[in-house]
Amino acid sequence: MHPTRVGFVNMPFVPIHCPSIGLGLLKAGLAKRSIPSDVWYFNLRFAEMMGAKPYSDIVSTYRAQVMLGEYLFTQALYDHEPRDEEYIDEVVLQKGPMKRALEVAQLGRSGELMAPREHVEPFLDWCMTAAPWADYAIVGFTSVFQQHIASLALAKRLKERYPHLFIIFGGANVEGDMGLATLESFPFVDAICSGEGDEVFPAFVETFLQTGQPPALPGLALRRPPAEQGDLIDLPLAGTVPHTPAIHDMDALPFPDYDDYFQQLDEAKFERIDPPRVLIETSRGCWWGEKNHCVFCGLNSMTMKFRSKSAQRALDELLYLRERYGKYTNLISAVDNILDMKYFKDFIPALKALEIDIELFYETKANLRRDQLEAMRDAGIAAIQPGIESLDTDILRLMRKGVSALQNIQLLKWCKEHRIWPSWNFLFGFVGETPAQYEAMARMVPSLTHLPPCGGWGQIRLDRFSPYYYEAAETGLVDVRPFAAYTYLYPSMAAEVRQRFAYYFDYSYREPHDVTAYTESLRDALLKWQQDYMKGADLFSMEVEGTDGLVVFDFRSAGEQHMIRLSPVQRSLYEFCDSVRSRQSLLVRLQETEGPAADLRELDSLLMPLLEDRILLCIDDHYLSLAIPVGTYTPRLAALKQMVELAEQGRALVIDSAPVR
Amino acid sequence: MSEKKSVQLRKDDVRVDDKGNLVIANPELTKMIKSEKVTEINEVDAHRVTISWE
Repeated sequence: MHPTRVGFVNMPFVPIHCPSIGLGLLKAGLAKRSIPSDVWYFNLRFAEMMGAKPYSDIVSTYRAQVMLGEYLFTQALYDHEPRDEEYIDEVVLQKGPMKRALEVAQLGRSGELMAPREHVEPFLDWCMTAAPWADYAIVGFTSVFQQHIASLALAKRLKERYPHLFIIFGGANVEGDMGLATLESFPFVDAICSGEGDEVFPAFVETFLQTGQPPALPGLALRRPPAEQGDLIDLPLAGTVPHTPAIHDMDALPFPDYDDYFQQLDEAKFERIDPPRVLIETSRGCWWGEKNHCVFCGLNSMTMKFRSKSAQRALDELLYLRERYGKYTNLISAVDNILDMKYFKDFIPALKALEIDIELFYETKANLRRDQLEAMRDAGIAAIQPGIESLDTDILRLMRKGVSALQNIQLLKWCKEHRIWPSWNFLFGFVGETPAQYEAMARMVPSLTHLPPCGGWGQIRLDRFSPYYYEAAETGLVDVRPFAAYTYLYPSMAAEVRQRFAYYFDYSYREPHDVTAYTESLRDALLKWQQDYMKGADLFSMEVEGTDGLVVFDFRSAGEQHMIRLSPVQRSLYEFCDSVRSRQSLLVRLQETEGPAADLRELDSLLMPLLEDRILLCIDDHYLSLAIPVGTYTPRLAALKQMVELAEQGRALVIDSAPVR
Repeated sequence: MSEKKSVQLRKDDVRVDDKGNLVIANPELTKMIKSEKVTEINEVDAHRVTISWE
């Protein structure tokens, strides 16, 4: 009897705290055609063998930047002697004498960094016995991030032991030319699927199971049958790459099936570092990228067009996932590139009305309004990734982010007020930026230490499919070359072949940019921001009985607590600046309260003390108050303790300058 | 059984006396804040989703 099942494989190194949404969707898509399949989360097993903490470090720290996870499996793929010392010198340390690189290099020299390699062969041996391979007709590997080499290593062994298996790769690592390079270079791979496989893959499987022959479908690149092995059926014309048609009717997609993940997670014996989370997808593409593709973004290679699920469909899916997997977790992360703004009218209010206990994560644009953040929090959206990237408006313009520095800071403030955690990073190295812009940001950062800091910072990477990659020469980037790590991941290949596997590229600037030097003071300031925030830095305002205005409590720097009393007219202006305001609009506001004779000189005299106390920020003649109003927001514990101490010390309030008439 | 309470700062909890000194008008709040048992949820860990580098 011919095998009729499909096996899917999720190899190291991808996170262990969430399932693969790609495989969850494909399994559900096959089920709609009554084709049984299993998803094997072998990454969980490898984490079990090497330890969850070191595994997760490879997924999400500097180790990921040097592609250590891929490198660890190369010996198993090529059966060659690894060149660890060269890898450390030329990859780990190649980006200059950074602290993290030196630490990682040190671990490498001592052998600690490569220690997980001892588990690779036993792990692959275990994989060979862990699934009923003989029962499968097709084995599908998902390959994203650092999954490619481990997947190839297992695919090679499977093909040797079970030649009947049709082995197909999908995922971001085989998009476009990267997929064709994979197919051409590794004869045990029978096909790759480039692009969204939701419709094409189940159709392919159905035909294959019925006829025993792989059909030629758009987006699938196939190897010829064995007699003609070596050629490809649908080799693209020069300059073009096959790609699956994009899904347009998002509502027609099935609900993802994560049963295999949670069952295998239940059985996995490793320390639970991060709580598990369920992945949901409510849209694909990027509505902002359709208008202005951020220069560094390599997502959505050929499917930038934004497509979202209807509110009801998104809600149905969320409730289904909550019902089915709620016993494991209430954390649900949307994999969307950007939140659909239409959802503020339907999906988000409907979610709020349900009052279910979930914590949702979404990627968003940064120029959200206060009422939108309120609505998000009320609906259970507890974490966002708003793509802040910088706090300089001109640099943000170079990125095509469509947001100003003050809007970014405003978002951080409102996020803190509404208990939404914003994950963000700081990016440097854009063509056209100046050292003076970084010096200015370094001077500003100490005013912001009560706001959620960035998780990390670094010079921009050149990603395949990004505008900077496609327009490198026009932009001023030269000597574009694959990350040095690829030399060690594909060691015996010619440089031009290796180039086709690469997603990450290094580059030089045509005009000299000493990014490391001119970002030093800002990097120091960002580190202190992280440290101060963790210590409980806070800045908040509240109405206090016994005063006729507003009091701002400044606990941003330990040992330098301040209480600043604002006059009623200052309060009016300060509260008006809760959102970004122009100088002109502030004058109008002043004239409304103080009469038409009020002028800019008076306005400046009122604002100057607030600027000097760094509780108000001014950039490009626009103003933003920095203190978070107490109400929805309650100060952090460290700040409350300091407040009590101040009261017990009998400290008096500082009174700011009265308005000049 | 442990009892969970949220520390909430309200307008009436704080006032300024006639000398301009800060006064915490809610002794319960002071007691709660000074308690060794009070802890804060680590908001960074709860929602960590991005990678760090440098």
